[in-house]
Order: sequence, then structure tokens, then C-alpha cells
Amino acid sequence: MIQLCSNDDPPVSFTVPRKAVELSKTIKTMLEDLEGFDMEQTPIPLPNVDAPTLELIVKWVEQHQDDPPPVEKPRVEDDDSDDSDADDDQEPEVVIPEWDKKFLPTDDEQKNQLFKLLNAANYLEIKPLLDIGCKYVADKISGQTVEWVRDYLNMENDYTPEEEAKLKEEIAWAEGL
Amino acid sequence: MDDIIDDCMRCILERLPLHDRLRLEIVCRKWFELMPYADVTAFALDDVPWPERHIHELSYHHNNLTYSQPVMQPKWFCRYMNFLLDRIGPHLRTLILAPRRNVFRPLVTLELAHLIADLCPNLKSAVFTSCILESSATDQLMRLRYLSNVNLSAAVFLEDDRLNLVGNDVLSAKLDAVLSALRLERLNLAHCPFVVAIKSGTLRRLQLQGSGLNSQDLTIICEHCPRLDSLVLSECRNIVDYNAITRLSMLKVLWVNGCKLTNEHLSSICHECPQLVSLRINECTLLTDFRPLKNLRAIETLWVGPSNRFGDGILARIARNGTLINLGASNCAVTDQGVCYLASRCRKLLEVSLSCTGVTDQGVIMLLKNCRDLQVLNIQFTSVSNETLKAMATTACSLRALYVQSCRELDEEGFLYLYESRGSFADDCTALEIQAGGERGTPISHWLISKLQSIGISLIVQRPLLALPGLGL
Repeated sequence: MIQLCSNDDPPVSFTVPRKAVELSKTIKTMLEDLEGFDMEQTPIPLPNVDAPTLELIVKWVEQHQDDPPPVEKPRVEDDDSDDSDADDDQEPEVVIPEWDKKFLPTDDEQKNQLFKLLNAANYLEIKPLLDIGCKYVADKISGQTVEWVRDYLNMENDYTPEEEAKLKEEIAWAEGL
Repeated sequence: MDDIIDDCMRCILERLPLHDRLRLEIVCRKWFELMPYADVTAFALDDVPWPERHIHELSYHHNNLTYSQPVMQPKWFCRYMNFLLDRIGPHLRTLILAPRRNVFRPLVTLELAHLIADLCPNLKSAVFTSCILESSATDQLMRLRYLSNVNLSAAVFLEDDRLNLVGNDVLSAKLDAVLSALRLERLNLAHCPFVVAIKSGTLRRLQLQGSGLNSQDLTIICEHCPRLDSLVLSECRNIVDYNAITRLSMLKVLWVNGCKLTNEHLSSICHECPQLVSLRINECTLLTDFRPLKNLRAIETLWVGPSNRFGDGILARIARNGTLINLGASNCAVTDQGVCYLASRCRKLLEVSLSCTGVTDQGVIMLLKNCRDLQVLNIQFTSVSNETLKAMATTACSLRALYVQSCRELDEEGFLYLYESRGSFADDCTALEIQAGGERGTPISHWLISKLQSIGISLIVQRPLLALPGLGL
């Protein structure tokens, strides 16, 4: 078992099976580098992750610890694509499994928790979690208005009115207007 | 702290459809800079919505006739394409400009061709199906040094700055020069009125179906494109001499359906090109002697007929090697005897079309039992009965299409049996589409159709149905 500590004061620690924790490439590499030390006794501090987020992460890795490792396909440089199948070398579509759908904090009040989870998944290099989280957010944004997207992602419009007007004119066609 | 960091944001943006990425650049400066396009290596017109306000009718002339096509005003089309290619161009390897769901035909002006050549230096594949091109636009293709696949099927060429079609002779000479200068591997000039006797040492795949190619052009092509492995000449009725094809020692695929191929041509092709894997000689009305086909030891796809000279004997000679995967021999003299032999030798068959009156249950059932990978089966106009459907109920799990129009002996009883016995293991079977009915088919009720639908079989009856449920049972 491995102990993980959140960045809170005082830190909250979680005990996780090593197999589950190794879904995080960051921690896996760290453990490999510290081969020989008794890691069971040494808590690993995670300076970028708070307790609620770490709790979610732990829940997710425990659920997925027995998943088969993702197949990493080498990018084929010289593909043999036909006229008809143009989207040959696009990445395969990510499908969010049922369990994960319920797991993701998807209520609008929880969106900041969702963003923290994504940042943590990125920091800890848990690619499958990052994939489904990003897929969820992308699906949510797709087709929405610019204002809605800004609001949802806490983004501020930092264009000058002139710049915005110019860009708007250029982009208008992509809206099919 | 609660905001999404850039790495994650890029990961999200990458998962957006292209047109969302384009229009959401306006969210903030960071997104403008961050917006990832490196994964967009292929673009087709349909990938983004196009505004309809700049579309107008373009009229052009040829031989005192006027043609009219909807196009987007060049100024706007170039402007939009500029915006787009500015972003996705550097990574683009496939560009497809073809009107599909679009309400306009792409007009490729010299200016647009310049843009493409400037902004898409890594383009490998350029598809201009049904486009309208200014003839000098084609010169720009020569600037794309990685271009290996060009598709100009059914394209129309205009004189520069004038709304006249370019004469075929002028165009032939021009495209001959352009296309021969590129290191092309694939070229599609299907349904083009002009003829290009292309000379290319790199060309592997050439499609010229429905073009005006003649014997002399074919000879030039076969002489100068020694690496051709696929040649499509379907419906090229101006060719009378096919002997030049025998020079192509690497040829694997030859489609000459609807051509004036003679027995002598077929004989020499089969003799000189025994490596052929795919051959279509259907609708070649001059053919009467199919015996040379037995030379094709590697043949996987063969389409013949209609011909009463293609019977069990020759089918058996071809099937003996067991290589066939896709066989089309409709309206031929094939009977059960030939089909049974076929089924015993060619167990890898995926698609079979045997719409021959001599075929009955015996042959088809044998085929279903032996060829477990069979996906498509066309047995229209045969004398198969409900027995075939009974056999299908317990075998043929890979089948996804069955054509039984005008099979007089088939009726609801067979389909009901199919429903009852297949129901229990339908989950293990591929979704199946059955086309029935036809001129001579028996009527089938709506009730049965919905029953079959519930176990993944869509039954399409090509004739008015019985209106009342349950009738006919």
C-alpha cells in the first residue's frame, strides 16, 4: 500500500494499493526512481492536489486498477488512406464508460471540482481519466455560444472591442451565417 | 487555481469538432493562441458549415450550349479557405473539395490554387471530384512536392478568366504535362471528357472509367506506367484493342466491365497476367469463351455475366484454387452442381452474386453451410424455397445482406421460421438486411416485418405490402 498526501494544512492522507496508484505515470516513475526505499512507510506529498480532488482520484484509480493497459499505437507516418476514408489517422473516439459517467462531478455547481480533477489528472499523468474528463467537457462545449463557453469555463474576454469585431467578421462564416 | 491549466485546455480543445474550434477562437486571446489544429490532417468541405448567402449560379458555355452550376462567389470562397487553410494547412495531407451535402460546387480559381499550394505544403492527396477548375489552377499542383494522389473525376475545366469550357485537346495536353511531372501514385480521371495518356513511372493506381480513352491512349499508358497495379477502364467504349494491358506485369486489379473486350484479349490477358487478383469482365457482351480464366491462380474477385457460356464447368476450373472471395456470376448458366463445387473449394467467400435460374436450395444451402464468413448473398430470380431460409436460421451468422427479390418459391412461412429459430441466438449474428419482393415475389405482411425487426433483421419488400397485419398467415 502507498500513502498519498494532499496539499491541505494539515495534509489529508489516503492509503491506496500500489497497483492502483501506478495508473498515475507521475507516481509510477517516482516509485521506480525510489526503488529500494521502503515506500510503504513514506507518504508521498502531492503539492498540486487538495483533499476532495485526491479523494476522487483515489476512487477512480481503485475502480480502474484492473483495467488492461491502453494500447499505444505508433503513429503511422506513411498511411495508405483512400480518397473515401479521409479520417484515417484520427484518434479513436473516446467513449466514457457508465461507471465513469456517474463518477465525474458533472453538476454545474461542481464544475470547479471537475476542473480541479482534470488538472490533477494531468499533473499525475493519468491519461485515461484525463481523456474521459476532457471528452466530457468538449462535448459540453461543442455547439454552445461563445458567451456560454466563457461563462462555463470562467474565461474572460480580453480582446479589445475592435479586435473582437474584426475576428468576429472573419469567423462568422464558420457559424454557417 | 480552479481554472483549467493550459495543458488540459489543449486536450479539451483537441476533442472539439473542427468548426467549433474555428468559431471559439474568439473566446479569448489565450484560445486564439492555444487552439490546436495539428491533428487535422484531412479536410473535406462537409467538415464545416458553409454560409449560403454568397452562392450564385455560374453559367459557362461550350459549343453554343450554356451550363449553370451553383458556386460560392470566388472572392468569398477564397477568403474563407484562406482563413481555414491558414490554420489547418501546414498539417493537412488530404484535401477533399467535392460537393457532397453542400449546395454549391467548389470553384477552384487560380487564386485558390495558389492558396492551397502556399498553405498546404505537405498535401499528399488532392481530391477535386465534380469541382469547377480554372485550367491554369492545375499548374499549381506542381508546387506540391509530396502530392501522390490526385482525383479529378467528373471535374469541369474553364478557360482562364472566361466562362468557356476548355477544349478537350488543349486540356489533354495541359494535364498530360502537369500530371506526368508529378510523382503520382494514384490518379482518378473517371468520367472526364478529355483524355490524358499519362506517362508516369510511379503511378500504381489509375481510374479512367467512363472516359473517352481509345486504344492508342491505352497503349501509351501501358508502355509508360509500368508500375500500375490497379487499372479501372469500366465503360470505356472507345477502346477496341486491349492487348497493351499484357505489358503490365504488376497488375493486380483490372476492371474492364462494359468494355469491348474480345475472347482473344481475355485469353492474352489471362495468359500474360496470371497474377491478377481482381477482374471485372461483366457486361462485356463480346465475350463467349471464359476458359482462359482458369489461368488466374490468385483470383479473389471475379465478376462475369450475363452470359450463357459461363457455366458449371468453367466455374469449377476457377474455383479449384480456392482463392475466390468475391464472385459475381449473375445471369449465367451456373447450376447447383457448380455452386456445390464452389462451396466445397472456396470457404473464404465473403460476397456472392449468383442470380441464375439454375440455382436452387441445394446449392445455396451448401454455400451457407460451408462458407461461414459469407456476408453478402445475391440470389434473386433463383428457384430457392423456404428451405434456404430454414438453413439460414441456424447458419450464416456473418451474413449482413441477402437479396431474394423475385424468388417465387419464398413466402411468409420461411421468414416466420427464420424469426422463430434465429430469435434465440440473434445476438451472436450480424444485423441482417433482406431485400425481398420484386416483380415475382410473394407478398409479406407488416406484422412479420416488425417481428423480424425485433431480432435485428430488416426486411425490405420491393412491392406494395399487404395492408392488414397478419394477412397471408
